[in-house]
Amino acid sequence: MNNFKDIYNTYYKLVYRLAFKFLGNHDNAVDITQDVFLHLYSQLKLKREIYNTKAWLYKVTSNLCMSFLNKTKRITKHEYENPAVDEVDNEKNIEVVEALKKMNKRDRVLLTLYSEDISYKEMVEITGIKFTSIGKTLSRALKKLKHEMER
Amino acid sequence: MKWKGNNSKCMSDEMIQMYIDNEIDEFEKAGMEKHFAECENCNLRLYEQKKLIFDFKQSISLVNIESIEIPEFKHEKTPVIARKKYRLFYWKWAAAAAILIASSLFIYKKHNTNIQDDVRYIIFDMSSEVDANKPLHEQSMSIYIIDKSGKQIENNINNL
Repeated sequence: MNNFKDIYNTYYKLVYRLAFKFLGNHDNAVDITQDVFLHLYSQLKLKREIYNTKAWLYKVTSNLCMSFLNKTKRITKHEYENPAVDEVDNEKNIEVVEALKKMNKRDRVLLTLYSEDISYKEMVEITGIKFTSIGKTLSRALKKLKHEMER
Repeated sequence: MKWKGNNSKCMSDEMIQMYIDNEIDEFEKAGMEKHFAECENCNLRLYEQKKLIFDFKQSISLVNIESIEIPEFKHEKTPVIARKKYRLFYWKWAAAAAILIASSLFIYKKHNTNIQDDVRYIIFDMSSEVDANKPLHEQSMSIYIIDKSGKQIENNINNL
Protein backbone atom coordinates (compact mmCIF):
# COMPACT_ATOMS: atom_id res chain seq x y z
CA MET A 1 0.00 0.00 0.00
CA ASN A 2 2.98 2.33 -0.33
CA ASN A 3 1.64 3.16 -3.73
CA PHE A 4 -1.55 4.43 -2.18
CA LYS A 5 0.25 6.67 0.29
CA ASP A 6 2.20 8.31 -2.51
CA ILE A 7 -0.96 8.94 -4.50
CA TYR A 8 -2.68 10.27 -1.43
CA ASN A 9 0.02 12.77 -0.63
CA THR A 10 0.56 13.98 -4.17
CA TYR A 11 -3.06 14.28 -5.25
CA TYR A 12 -4.82 15.25 -2.05
CA LYS A 13 -4.67 18.96 -2.75
CA LEU A 14 -5.71 18.51 -6.34
CA VAL A 15 -8.81 16.55 -5.39
CA TYR A 16 -9.61 18.97 -2.61
CA ARG A 17 -9.31 21.95 -4.95
CA LEU A 18 -11.64 20.37 -7.46
CA ALA A 19 -14.16 19.47 -4.78
CA PHE A 20 -13.98 22.95 -3.32
CA LYS A 21 -14.66 24.52 -6.71
CA PHE A 22 -17.61 22.20 -7.14
CA LEU A 23 -19.18 22.68 -3.76
CA GLY A 24 -17.83 26.01 -2.55
CA ASN A 25 -17.64 24.77 1.00
CA HIS A 26 -14.60 23.64 2.93
CA ASP A 27 -16.23 20.99 5.09
CA ASN A 28 -18.07 19.33 2.24
CA ALA A 29 -14.94 19.39 0.10
CA VAL A 30 -12.97 17.63 2.83
CA ASP A 31 -15.68 15.00 3.13
CA ILE A 32 -15.78 14.39 -0.60
CA THR A 33 -12.00 14.18 -0.77
CA GLN A 34 -12.01 11.57 1.97
CA ASP A 35 -14.66 9.61 0.08
CA VAL A 36 -12.66 9.73 -3.15
CA PHE A 37 -9.56 8.32 -1.52
CA LEU A 38 -11.59 5.74 0.33
CA HIS A 39 -12.88 4.64 -3.04
CA LEU A 40 -9.36 4.52 -4.41
CA TYR A 41 -8.19 2.56 -1.39
CA SER A 42 -10.83 -0.11 -1.84
CA GLN A 43 -10.06 -0.33 -5.56
CA LEU A 44 -6.38 -0.85 -4.88
CA LYS A 45 -7.14 -3.36 -2.17
CA LEU A 46 -9.13 -5.40 -4.68
CA LYS A 47 -6.09 -5.17 -6.95
CA ARG A 48 -7.95 -3.43 -9.71
CA GLU A 49 -5.65 -1.53 -11.99
CA ILE A 50 -6.12 2.15 -12.56
CA TYR A 51 -4.27 3.25 -15.65
CA ASN A 52 -4.54 7.00 -15.46
CA THR A 53 -4.71 7.94 -11.82
CA LYS A 54 -5.22 11.65 -12.36
CA ALA A 55 -8.08 11.21 -14.81
CA TRP A 56 -9.62 8.56 -12.56
CA LEU A 57 -9.48 10.92 -9.60
CA TYR A 58 -11.06 13.73 -11.61
CA LYS A 59 -13.82 11.45 -12.72
CA VAL A 60 -14.61 10.04 -9.31
CA THR A 61 -14.46 13.45 -7.69
CA SER A 62 -16.83 15.02 -10.16
CA ASN A 63 -19.22 12.08 -9.93
CA LEU A 64 -19.25 12.15 -6.15
CA CYS A 65 -19.77 15.91 -6.15
CA MET A 66 -22.64 15.56 -8.60
CA SER A 67 -24.37 12.98 -6.48
CA PHE A 68 -23.72 15.09 -3.42
CA LEU A 69 -25.36 18.07 -5.13
CA ASN A 70 -28.32 15.91 -6.07
CA LYS A 71 -28.72 14.77 -2.51
CA THR A 72 -28.53 18.20 -0.95
CA LYS A 73 -30.44 20.06 -3.63
CA ARG A 74 -33.22 21.14 -1.35
CA ILE A 75 -30.95 22.08 1.52
CA THR A 76 -28.69 24.31 -0.53
CA LYS A 77 -31.65 26.05 -2.11
CA HIS A 78 -32.89 26.80 1.35
CA GLU A 79 -29.50 28.13 2.29
CA TYR A 80 -29.61 30.76 -0.43
CA GLU A 81 -32.88 32.03 0.86
CA ASN A 82 -31.43 32.49 4.29
CA PRO A 83 -29.34 35.68 4.26
CA ALA A 84 -27.90 35.08 7.71
CA VAL A 85 -25.92 32.10 6.48
CA ASP A 86 -24.51 34.04 3.54
CA GLU A 87 -23.34 36.96 5.59
CA VAL A 88 -21.21 34.83 7.86
CA ASP A 89 -19.48 32.99 5.05
CA ASN A 90 -19.10 35.94 2.71
CA GLU A 91 -15.66 36.97 3.80
CA LYS A 92 -14.12 33.60 3.20
CA ASN A 93 -15.88 32.80 -0.02
CA ILE A 94 -14.66 33.76 -3.43
CA GLU A 95 -16.94 35.55 -5.81
CA VAL A 96 -16.59 33.10 -8.69
CA VAL A 97 -17.27 30.08 -6.53
CA GLU A 98 -20.41 31.76 -5.23
CA ALA A 99 -21.51 32.55 -8.78
CA LEU A 100 -20.81 28.98 -9.84
CA LYS A 101 -23.14 27.78 -7.13
CA LYS A 102 -26.05 29.50 -8.82
CA MET A 103 -25.51 27.93 -12.20
CA ASN A 104 -26.92 24.68 -13.43
CA LYS A 105 -25.08 21.46 -12.78
CA ARG A 106 -23.77 20.82 -16.28
CA ASP A 107 -22.26 24.28 -16.67
CA ARG A 108 -20.83 24.06 -13.21
CA VAL A 109 -19.06 20.80 -13.90
CA LEU A 110 -17.72 21.95 -17.24
CA LEU A 111 -16.43 25.25 -15.93
CA THR A 112 -14.80 23.62 -12.95
CA LEU A 113 -13.02 21.13 -15.15
CA TYR A 114 -12.15 23.90 -17.59
CA SER A 115 -10.48 25.87 -14.84
CA GLU A 116 -8.25 22.87 -14.19
CA ASP A 117 -6.94 23.04 -17.78
CA ILE A 118 -8.42 19.71 -18.75
CA SER A 119 -8.62 18.89 -22.45
CA TYR A 120 -11.97 18.46 -24.18
CA LYS A 121 -11.27 14.78 -24.69
CA GLU A 122 -10.92 14.19 -20.97
CA MET A 123 -14.01 16.28 -20.29
CA VAL A 124 -15.95 13.92 -22.54
CA GLU A 125 -14.70 10.98 -20.53
CA ILE A 126 -15.46 12.58 -17.21
CA THR A 127 -18.83 14.17 -17.85
CA GLY A 128 -20.22 12.16 -20.74
CA ILE A 129 -21.16 15.30 -22.66
CA LYS A 130 -20.67 15.01 -26.42
CA PHE A 131 -17.41 16.34 -27.80
CA THR A 132 -19.18 18.52 -30.33
CA SER A 133 -21.26 20.33 -27.74
CA ILE A 134 -18.50 21.09 -25.26
CA GLY A 135 -17.27 24.21 -27.06
CA LYS A 136 -20.78 25.57 -27.36
CA THR A 137 -21.67 24.81 -23.76
CA LEU A 138 -18.47 26.34 -22.49
CA SER A 139 -18.82 29.59 -24.37
CA ARG A 140 -22.39 29.96 -23.17
CA ALA A 141 -21.52 29.02 -19.63
CA LEU A 142 -18.75 31.61 -19.50
CA LYS A 143 -21.16 34.30 -20.60
CA LYS A 144 -23.73 33.19 -18.08
CA LEU A 145 -21.12 33.24 -15.36
CA LYS A 146 -20.09 36.78 -16.19
CA HIS A 147 -23.73 37.81 -16.12
CA GLU A 148 -24.14 36.11 -12.76
CA MET A 149 -21.11 37.83 -11.31
CA GLU A 150 -22.17 41.27 -12.45
CA ARG A 151 -25.51 40.92 -10.81
CA MET B 1 -25.35 38.49 -30.93
CA LYS B 2 -25.33 36.03 -33.76
CA TRP B 3 -23.20 36.80 -36.74
CA LYS B 4 -23.74 33.57 -38.48
CA GLY B 5 -26.72 34.88 -40.42
CA ASN B 6 -24.96 37.94 -41.75
CA ASN B 7 -21.97 36.29 -43.20
CA SER B 8 -21.60 32.57 -43.72
CA LYS B 9 -17.85 32.84 -43.26
CA CYS B 10 -18.14 34.37 -39.77
CA MET B 11 -17.36 32.17 -36.83
CA SER B 12 -19.81 30.84 -34.29
CA ASP B 13 -19.11 31.30 -30.58
CA GLU B 14 -18.45 27.60 -30.38
CA MET B 15 -15.71 27.76 -32.98
CA ILE B 16 -14.08 30.71 -31.29
CA GLN B 17 -14.10 28.91 -27.98
CA MET B 18 -12.57 25.84 -29.53
CA TYR B 19 -10.01 27.96 -31.34
CA ILE B 20 -8.88 29.52 -28.07
CA ASP B 21 -8.67 26.14 -26.39
CA ASN B 22 -6.72 24.76 -29.31
CA GLU B 23 -9.19 21.95 -29.89
CA ILE B 24 -9.57 22.14 -33.70
CA ASP B 25 -7.43 20.61 -36.40
CA GLU B 26 -4.69 22.47 -38.24
CA PHE B 27 -6.58 22.91 -41.46
CA GLU B 28 -9.55 24.61 -39.83
CA LYS B 29 -7.24 26.65 -37.68
CA ALA B 30 -5.48 28.09 -40.72
CA GLY B 31 -8.81 29.02 -42.26
CA MET B 32 -9.93 30.73 -39.08
CA GLU B 33 -6.75 32.71 -38.70
CA LYS B 34 -7.19 33.96 -42.21
CA HIS B 35 -10.73 34.99 -41.42
CA PHE B 36 -9.77 36.75 -38.20
CA ALA B 37 -7.30 38.85 -40.16
CA GLU B 38 -10.06 39.97 -42.52
CA CYS B 39 -13.15 40.24 -40.33
CA GLU B 40 -13.15 42.92 -37.68
CA ASN B 41 -16.26 41.66 -35.95
CA CYS B 42 -14.91 38.20 -35.45
CA ASN B 43 -11.63 39.60 -34.27
CA LEU B 44 -13.45 41.65 -31.66
CA ARG B 45 -15.43 38.64 -30.53
CA LEU B 46 -12.26 36.60 -30.30
CA TYR B 47 -10.78 39.27 -28.11
CA GLU B 48 -13.88 39.42 -25.89
CA GLN B 49 -14.01 35.68 -25.46
CA LYS B 50 -10.32 35.57 -24.62
CA LYS B 51 -10.86 38.24 -22.00
CA LEU B 52 -13.81 36.31 -20.59
CA ILE B 53 -11.72 33.20 -20.24
CA PHE B 54 -8.79 35.10 -18.79
CA ASP B 55 -10.99 36.77 -16.19
CA PHE B 56 -12.58 33.47 -15.27
CA LYS B 57 -9.29 31.66 -14.87
CA GLN B 58 -7.76 34.47 -12.91
CA SER B 59 -10.66 34.82 -10.53
CA ILE B 60 -10.89 31.09 -9.93
CA SER B 61 -7.17 30.94 -9.23
CA LEU B 62 -8.00 32.88 -6.07
CA VAL B 63 -9.07 29.55 -4.66
CA ASN B 64 -6.03 29.21 -2.50
CA ILE B 65 -5.53 25.79 -1.04
CA GLU B 66 -1.91 25.97 -0.02
CA SER B 67 -2.91 26.41 3.59
CA ILE B 68 -4.85 23.15 3.57
CA GLU B 69 -3.24 20.46 5.64
CA ILE B 70 -3.29 16.92 4.37
CA PRO B 71 -5.00 14.89 7.08
CA GLU B 72 -3.99 11.36 7.81
CA PHE B 73 -5.96 8.87 5.81
CA LYS B 74 -8.40 6.77 7.77
CA HIS B 75 -9.67 3.78 5.92
CA GLU B 76 -12.67 3.17 8.09
CA LYS B 77 -15.98 2.86 6.46
CA THR B 78 -18.26 5.81 6.65
CA PRO B 79 -21.20 5.27 8.98
CA VAL B 80 -24.12 3.64 7.32
CA ILE B 81 -26.92 6.05 6.62
CA ALA B 82 -30.36 4.83 7.60
CA ARG B 83 -32.61 3.70 4.83
CA LYS B 84 -35.70 5.51 3.78
CA LYS B 85 -38.25 6.03 6.49
CA TYR B 86 -41.14 4.07 5.12
CA ARG B 87 -39.12 0.89 4.92
CA LEU B 88 -38.04 1.23 8.49
CA PHE B 89 -41.67 1.72 9.43
CA TYR B 90 -42.71 -1.55 7.81
CA TRP B 91 -39.93 -3.47 9.44
CA LYS B 92 -40.82 -2.11 12.81
CA TRP B 93 -44.40 -3.24 12.56
CA ALA B 94 -43.46 -6.62 11.13
CA ALA B 95 -41.01 -7.22 13.96
CA ALA B 96 -43.53 -6.16 16.57
CA ALA B 97 -46.19 -8.46 15.13
CA ALA B 98 -43.78 -11.38 14.95
CA ILE B 99 -42.72 -10.92 18.55
CA LEU B 100 -46.30 -10.62 19.70
CA ILE B 101 -47.38 -13.81 17.92
CA ALA B 102 -44.36 -15.76 19.07
CA SER B 103 -44.70 -14.74 22.69
CA SER B 104 -48.44 -15.39 22.80
CA LEU B 105 -47.94 -18.85 21.28
CA PHE B 106 -45.22 -19.59 23.79
CA ILE B 107 -47.34 -18.55 26.75
CA TYR B 108 -50.37 -20.42 25.46
CA LYS B 109 -48.42 -23.61 24.96
CA LYS B 110 -46.76 -23.40 28.34
CA HIS B 111 -50.10 -22.84 30.03
CA ASN B 112 -51.58 -25.92 28.36
CA THR B 113 -48.67 -28.22 29.01
CA ASN B 114 -48.56 -27.23 32.65
CA ILE B 115 -51.92 -28.78 33.29
CA GLN B 116 -51.23 -31.88 31.26
CA ASP B 117 -47.85 -32.51 32.80
CA ASP B 118 -48.86 -32.07 36.40
CA VAL B 119 -52.11 -33.91 36.39
CA ARG B 120 -51.79 -37.34 35.01
CA TYR B 121 -54.47 -39.42 36.59
CA ILE B 122 -57.79 -38.58 37.89
CA ILE B 123 -59.24 -41.49 39.75
CA PHE B 124 -62.87 -41.69 40.55
CA ASP B 125 -63.52 -43.85 43.58
CA MET B 126 -66.68 -45.70 42.83
CA SER B 127 -66.50 -48.04 45.85
CA SER B 128 -69.43 -46.43 47.56
CA GLU B 129 -72.67 -47.20 45.95
CA VAL B 130 -74.40 -44.53 44.07
CA ASP B 131 -78.06 -44.45 44.57
CA ALA B 132 -79.69 -42.08 42.20
CA ASN B 133 -82.89 -42.18 44.14
CA LYS B 134 -81.33 -40.59 47.21
CA PRO B 135 -81.39 -36.84 47.51
CA LEU B 136 -78.23 -35.06 46.31
CA HIS B 137 -76.81 -34.07 49.69
CA GLU B 138 -76.78 -37.67 50.91
CA GLN B 139 -74.72 -38.98 48.01
CA SER B 140 -70.96 -39.20 48.19
CA MET B 141 -68.15 -39.45 45.62
CA SER B 142 -64.42 -39.09 46.05
CA ILE B 143 -61.95 -37.85 43.42
CA TYR B 144 -58.18 -38.36 43.74
CA ILE B 145 -55.95 -36.27 41.62
CA ILE B 146 -52.49 -37.81 41.33
CA ASP B 147 -49.53 -36.28 39.49
CA LYS B 148 -46.74 -37.97 37.47
CA SER B 149 -44.69 -39.16 40.40
CA GLY B 150 -47.67 -40.59 42.20
CA LYS B 151 -48.15 -37.80 44.70
CA GLN B 152 -51.59 -36.83 45.56
CA ILE B 153 -52.15 -33.20 44.68
CA GLU B 154 -55.58 -32.62 46.04
CA ASN B 155 -57.48 -34.33 48.74
CA ASN B 156 -60.51 -36.30 47.91
CA ILE B 157 -63.52 -34.19 47.64
CA ASN B 158 -66.43 -35.63 49.51
CA ASN B 159 -70.01 -34.73 49.33
CA LEU B 160 -70.08 -32.86 46.15
